[in-house]
Amino acid sequence: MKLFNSALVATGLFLSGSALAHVGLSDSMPANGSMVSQAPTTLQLTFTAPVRLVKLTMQDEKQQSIPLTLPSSATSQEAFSFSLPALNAANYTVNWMIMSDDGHKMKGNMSFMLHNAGMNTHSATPMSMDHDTKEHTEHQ
Amino acid sequence: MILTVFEISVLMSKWVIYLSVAAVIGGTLMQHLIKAQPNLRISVAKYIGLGAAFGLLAVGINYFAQVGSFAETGLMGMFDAQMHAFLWPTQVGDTVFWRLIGFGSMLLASCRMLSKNNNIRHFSVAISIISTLLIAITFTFIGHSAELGLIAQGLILIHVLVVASWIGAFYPLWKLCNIDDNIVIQNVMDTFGRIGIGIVILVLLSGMGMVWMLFDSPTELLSSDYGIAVTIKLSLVAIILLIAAWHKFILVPNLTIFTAPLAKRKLQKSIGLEALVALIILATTAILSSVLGPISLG
Repeated sequence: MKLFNSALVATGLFLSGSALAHVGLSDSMPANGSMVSQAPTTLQLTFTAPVRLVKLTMQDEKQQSIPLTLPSSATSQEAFSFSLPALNAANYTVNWMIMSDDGHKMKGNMSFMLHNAGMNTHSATPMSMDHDTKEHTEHQ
Repeated sequence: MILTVFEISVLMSKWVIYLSVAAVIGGTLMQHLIKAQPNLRISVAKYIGLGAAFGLLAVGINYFAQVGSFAETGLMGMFDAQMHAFLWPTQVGDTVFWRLIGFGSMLLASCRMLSKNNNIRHFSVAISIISTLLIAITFTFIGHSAELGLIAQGLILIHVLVVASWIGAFYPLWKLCNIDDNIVIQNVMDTFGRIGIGIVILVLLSGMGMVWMLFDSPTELLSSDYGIAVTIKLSLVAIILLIAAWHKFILVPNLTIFTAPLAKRKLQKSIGLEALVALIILATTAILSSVLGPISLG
């Protein structure tokens, strides 16, 4: 019996299969860390699996919030799109918190810089490119 | 990694939920193996009832801690109406709802499962079996297996049922060692040992199936935090299997060879050690399924 058990344990250790990754942000528009000259009219977030968006905030470097309307939590989805108001040249940070279909909580952020938006042509402060620090804070 | 009060609460309550699930499922199984021991059956019925009561409490704490964690507004965040409205219609709410139904009906069934009225007793047994299935099914709603499809959900269902049957039987078996008649102890232990072979095979097959589905490569078992935690769990499972084999092939046969009190004491002590390892395995599982994930996207 011990030999049988050991064989099964060893088999499990050496078998491989499909991967399961934590759900996170896979793509965004504007892209994370990008510098854009045209003010985006929509913000698009795409995750690696269907999620429910729990919280979403967008701020410039002066901590001024950009109003965004969250979808209802009725169904989970991979991609989200939000209409943006007219943006000024600035560094913007988007903070998200999601619940994946396995009930886990994840949060992270992405940033982009708008350096020349319409009438507003003043230069923005160069931004750091090391964002998108996804944090798997908790599973349920 | 620094855990918040809510995350620690989620972890601890999840551990208690695991123990409660083991108590109600393992206790229900043992009730059928100790039919000839009325005093022991009373103890096991109380054990099932206590498990169900702790299960109800832990499910409630776990849910409010999750709400507080999502709300991120301090302790009062546990009562955030908006976050409750968000979480309740999701799989988190479904899990809480069905676990409360399962543990609640199990609590009621435990009070009536030894009734002298045959109809009430049979009804209570039926309720307890349905409740155990219901509680086990809730493990397919959330967690890593929920994202992997039906096969993984089937594996987790089998895993929960057989692991709970095994671990939850330790207390009744430990209590059994207080009986004077060694032959009775040996008979029950032998029966449990025969069932145990099936349990062990199913535990290993379902566990290995999940390991196979959760990992991309064997190297992840040592290179990621999640993999290391799984490796620790597998090592502990190997230890508990060795203890089970020690019982089956050495300590139980010794009950009729050596002096009664000494052989019983050794077996009881060893079951206690087995239960301790099981507690650590369940704690590891709570960590695995809470603060760690199979593969980081980072």
